[in-house]
Amino acid sequence: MYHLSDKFFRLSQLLGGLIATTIIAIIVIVLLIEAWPSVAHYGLFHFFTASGWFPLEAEYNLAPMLTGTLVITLGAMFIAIPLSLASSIFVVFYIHGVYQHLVTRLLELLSGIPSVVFGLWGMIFVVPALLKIKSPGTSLAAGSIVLATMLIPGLVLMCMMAFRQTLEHFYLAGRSLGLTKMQTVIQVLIPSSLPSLSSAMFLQTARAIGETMAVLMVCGNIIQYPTSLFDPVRTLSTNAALEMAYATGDHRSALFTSGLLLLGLVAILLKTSRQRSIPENIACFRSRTRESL
Amino acid sequence: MNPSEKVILGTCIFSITLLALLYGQIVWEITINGLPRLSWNWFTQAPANAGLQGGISSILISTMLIICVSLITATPVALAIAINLSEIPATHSRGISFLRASLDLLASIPSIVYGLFGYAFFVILCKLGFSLLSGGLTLACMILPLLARLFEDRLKEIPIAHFQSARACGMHQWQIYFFVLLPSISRGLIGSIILALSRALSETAALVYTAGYVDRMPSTLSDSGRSLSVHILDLSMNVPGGNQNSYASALTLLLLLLFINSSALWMGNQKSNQERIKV
Amino acid sequence: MKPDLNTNISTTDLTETLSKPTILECENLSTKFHQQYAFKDISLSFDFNKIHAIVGPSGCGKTSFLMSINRINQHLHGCSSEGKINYKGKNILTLDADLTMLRRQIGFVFQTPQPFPFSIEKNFTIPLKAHGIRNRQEIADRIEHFLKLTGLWNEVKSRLHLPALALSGGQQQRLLIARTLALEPELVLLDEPCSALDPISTRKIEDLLIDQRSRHTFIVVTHNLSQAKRIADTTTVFWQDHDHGIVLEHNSSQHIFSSSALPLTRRYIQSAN
Repeated sequence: MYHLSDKFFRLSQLLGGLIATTIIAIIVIVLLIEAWPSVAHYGLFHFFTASGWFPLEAEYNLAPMLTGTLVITLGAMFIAIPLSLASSIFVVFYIHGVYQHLVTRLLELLSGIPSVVFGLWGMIFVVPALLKIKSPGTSLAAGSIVLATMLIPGLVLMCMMAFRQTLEHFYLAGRSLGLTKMQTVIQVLIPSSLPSLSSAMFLQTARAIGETMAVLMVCGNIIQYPTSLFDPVRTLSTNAALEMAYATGDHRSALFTSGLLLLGLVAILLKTSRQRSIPENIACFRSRTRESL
Repeated sequence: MNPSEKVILGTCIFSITLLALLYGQIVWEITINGLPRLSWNWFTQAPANAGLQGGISSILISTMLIICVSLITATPVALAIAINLSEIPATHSRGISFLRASLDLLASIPSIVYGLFGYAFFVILCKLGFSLLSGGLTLACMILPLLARLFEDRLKEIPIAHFQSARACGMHQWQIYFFVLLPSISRGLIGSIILALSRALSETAALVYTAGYVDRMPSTLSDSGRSLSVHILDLSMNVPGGNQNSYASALTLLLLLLFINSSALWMGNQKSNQERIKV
Repeated sequence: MKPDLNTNISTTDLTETLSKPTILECENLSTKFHQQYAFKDISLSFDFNKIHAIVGPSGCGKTSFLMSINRINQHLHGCSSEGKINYKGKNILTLDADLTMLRRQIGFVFQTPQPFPFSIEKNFTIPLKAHGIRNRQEIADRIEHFLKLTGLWNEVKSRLHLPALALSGGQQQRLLIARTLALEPELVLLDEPCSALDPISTRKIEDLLIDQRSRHTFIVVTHNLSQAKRIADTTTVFWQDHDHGIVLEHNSSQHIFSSSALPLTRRYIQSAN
């Protein structure tokens, strides 16, 4: 670090880091500034106790939308988690060699499909199918189904990674002890993966909470507390997306407040999911064994 | 295998079959319905009549420009961050652990919130208006954490010996990076950029309120433009009878993603999962 | 290695004591990883109730050999074995069904201690229950007995419910040895069990092996020639021949360490002194 060019280099490194931290600061500040007018005008309680969301009458109750967000997310995770777990177990432990590679690539492709495409599919298939059960079709159930479909590939991939890690560490030990493959998988590998699995679940839940497009296209977007699975709902994110186009003044400010609420939800979720992976005091089995082999 | 184990295995097989059918159906429907509309005209003509006729040439150009802006802006910053992160462990510096926390937070912000931020900051405050520039910059913020993490992974793969021997040759820091280290992982870096690209392509909510809705061919970066995903949204939700074209756009997007993912694979970005253990 | 699907070694077959004193016999055993031989044409025999040491420089295929015996190497990609392994008179290399039963007779201790990420107690109960021992009292008795044997009981008796990973490396390895012994296998394979241990723990393990000789047969891979000299009844010297491992000499420890006829062996022994 003696030459001038070294100092420049160091400076540009610092600049990069500074930009990243500045961006997050700016985001939070901008959101706060925009949200402030409505909070100042009506107070925080208003957003949960007003008579409803009626912008024209300056009533901004976020509670119905918050409920919508939470219920849709819960529904989606209720569908996605068992399916993903079961599938990832099967893929990691019962599909071998080139087929497993193939399936992994497929899953990676599927996880990259944009949410609008899933929303489109939802509009054209899920909604009419639900319409046959109960009108109007665009509903909470549709939202959960489409959301789950969107999240499952990513969730399966993350679960697979978790299982592969424990496979590396504990499979040989379990088999050497005389456990059958099934016993090793069920009694050793799955319980050991629980920390990584729960972290994956939390991450996908955070993604579900923030999802806008897929939900927008199939949820009906009526502001109400859902009383059944087939009621249309509106979530915090779709609310902001729909009304930003024409919102002004306090209305717009209230939308920013709902954005902050979303951010808060996601932050809480991520805080509670602290990655507790297999501790580092397990010496790397792989490298040791390869050496002596 | 005792009965409970059989039940578990049965459930697993059932799940994976269900999922295979589900995603197969989705891809099938998109292909079947979108393929008829794909043609040379589709790719070279601009949309007409609110997108019911014509093609998506202007959409493709807008999308490409938005992504270019975001990649060009985000890559140098992400590289600088990655170099930082790969050199200094978080335990040694409060700044670095703060940086990591910031990146994690950035990565988890929902896209609609980015849309709100982009609107308030780039469109209004910076007076960029609804433009490709606003959209690109907002997108840059979104892909920054991903890109930084991917770059950091690639940098961490370089054996320390390369760095040390370059140092021993008396090279300056910047020379070491630009002439030795980065070229050695150039393939990986390009692969990372390609992956970030595919992530950027999927973004919708953030772009609606920053790049705008206009479906004309943009002439400058400060023109408003519509990205492919926004076009899909508009056609399906706001244009009656637009479903067919929406499907075609979705198919185009999927094909694009397929192409991009294959290139990333070809770049050797995926760590070859040399599985040691055969179950 | 054709699968012999009709063979099914049952516990009673395996626990039939034969008149021969040999518990394990290899004939022309070779193992290769992805077309590269780890070792070739090894023919050895191991007697009951003795401690057998396998020594030799790194990379000679000692661990591969050990892993071939309890057939755990078939769970590694690209690995295959040829030849014959006679465990108590039955060729286990052609066996395709029920390796689980085999591994209940042959225990394995890995080089790097890696207990399951559960409590100490659960590390025992999982394999014990899988082996059919479900009585809670018996499990508890076994845990106590074998932890006492490895000298770990006093250190952990008050924290059996706490995670096994909280133990130190030496304690973990002793835990794993106790866990393997608790299943009461006839043959115990140990892959450099003391390489990650401090001298005191190493001594404890060595004393344990010598003590338990009457109950089990031990085959120990070790880098430590003085350890082999201390505890082993017979010693096998592995060596590197071009690109694969071979056996240089296989004889009683006394012979190997003092009166070996082969110059390579003598030089190797001397290099350790």
